[in-house]
Amino acid sequence: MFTGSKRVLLATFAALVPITLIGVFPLFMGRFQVVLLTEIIIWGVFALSFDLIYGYTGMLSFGQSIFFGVGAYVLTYGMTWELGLLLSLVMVLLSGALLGLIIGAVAVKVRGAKFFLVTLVGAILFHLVALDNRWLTGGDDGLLVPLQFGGVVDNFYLIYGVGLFAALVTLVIVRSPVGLVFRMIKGDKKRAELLGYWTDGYRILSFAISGALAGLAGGLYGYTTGFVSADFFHWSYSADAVIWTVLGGSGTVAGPFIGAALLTFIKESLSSTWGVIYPVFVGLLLIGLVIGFPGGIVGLVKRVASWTVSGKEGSTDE
Amino acid sequence: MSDLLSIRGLGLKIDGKEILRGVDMELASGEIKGVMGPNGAGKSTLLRLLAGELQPTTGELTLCGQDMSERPEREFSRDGISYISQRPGPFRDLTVEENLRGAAQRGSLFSRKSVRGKVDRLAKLIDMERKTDVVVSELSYGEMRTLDVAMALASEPLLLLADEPTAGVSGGVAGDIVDLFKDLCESNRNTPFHLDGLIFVEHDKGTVFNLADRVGFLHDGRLVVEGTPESIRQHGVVAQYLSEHEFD
Repeated sequence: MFTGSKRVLLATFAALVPITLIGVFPLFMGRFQVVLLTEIIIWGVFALSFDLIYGYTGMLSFGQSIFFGVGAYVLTYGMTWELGLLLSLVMVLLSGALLGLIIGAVAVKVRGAKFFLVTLVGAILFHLVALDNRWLTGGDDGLLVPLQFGGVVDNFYLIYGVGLFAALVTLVIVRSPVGLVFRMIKGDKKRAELLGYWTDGYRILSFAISGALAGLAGGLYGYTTGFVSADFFHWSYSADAVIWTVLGGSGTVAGPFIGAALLTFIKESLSSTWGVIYPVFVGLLLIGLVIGFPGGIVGLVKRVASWTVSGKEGSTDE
Repeated sequence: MSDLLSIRGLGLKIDGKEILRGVDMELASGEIKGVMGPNGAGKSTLLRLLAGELQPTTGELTLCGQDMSERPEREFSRDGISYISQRPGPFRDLTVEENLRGAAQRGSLFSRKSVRGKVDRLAKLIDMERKTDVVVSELSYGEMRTLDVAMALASEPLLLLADEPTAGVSGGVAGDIVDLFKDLCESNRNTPFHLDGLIFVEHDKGTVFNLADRVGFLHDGRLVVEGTPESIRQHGVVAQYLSEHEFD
């Protein structure tokens, strides 16, 4: 098997290749493809926010659309009040984290199916409140987002940079001592508590970081489309994040991006021809993956790599 | 010797059923106490109460004179009580190193160097230096139990509670665990991972009488008798239990 340092080198190389390719993508591709890739990165960040609380901390939350919607509106108002893009994005992060602390503090009091229900009902409530308060959200009709960048490519590089930042920050967190506690809580909350950790505190922290990331994705999506509406709070956004993460591989930083990329690409490809069968296709794909490869695409790749290495080692022994 | 742990009238009632009734017990500093008794006597429940996993319905529990009765579970570990539960406790998806680090880093979350040093010492203590990168799910049962012991020691506790730490492991590994407990309890206070006291539950009579300074016998939620291994064998209920479980 690979030693620790070799594994790190391989992983770094495996990450740098797609990052570089994506970075030069707009130089060779058309407008439609650049817009699609921009959207994929945003969805990747959104799925990553879910992965942090589910894949790393073990909480199946359906409340991500709350943060997504709030992030989109905070950015919209920030831009409307002419705070500038950077300050607006900082506000998005802070508001997402603060809301994550509040919602997390309530949600961690319940466990299992109740936790799932509380977060789902929370998302539905926020959606209804947003629909009813047109003076603030514009309801169904939504609000226009004042833009700072005009071009598709400029916007792509903005999203690309923020997406890299989000992935890097998440990577640092999950590999830190705090990230280890998240993973311990996912493995056995009771056991982590017996070791002296205030597990509810860590779960709330995970919620806050996740809320900041989901808010960031919402802000970026609103900024990219130039429009936000109460529908940004719809729970189906949360469901998408779940599907992308499970498909790509939960508990990994790359998995949510891969899942989001694959399904967004498939959705766009099928929508013009077989749009009706898209949900059926995604459903079958998910069932197959969950049964056959619970680690998602990243888990599958890791397993194949492991087979290849052990196969080679086996043949050397012979 | 001064009391490390003192229990007065400890009781637990669940759904109207008395699981433990009025247990009194003292553990002197440096003492190893074995707890034995038939299945359902309340041995594991007693340890779970002492570890803070369960809250007693009656009685009080003090560690070094400090009342622990109403404390939340996590504070027991912080105040010096570590617990090895009946089933293997390491986190199965994490590596041996991550398990040890997770147990060692609490209280010094960002002192990487000191945590690293402690993890290395623990891995050496249980002879797992070469297995630190192995995921726990790939370990044998005996290795998991040994890792449990190391994780419990990581917080450098005053008192260790161990629920059947050698059950289901091979004789060699069981012997190693017993020797390690003895060494740590008999070691100098400045020795890394020195233990001030140990309370363990075991079915294996050999282990109990070999390791314990004093033995308590629980029956039907009551502490029937307590004494040295030699004296307790003579007690009627214990003698009957030992004869019925002669081949255990």
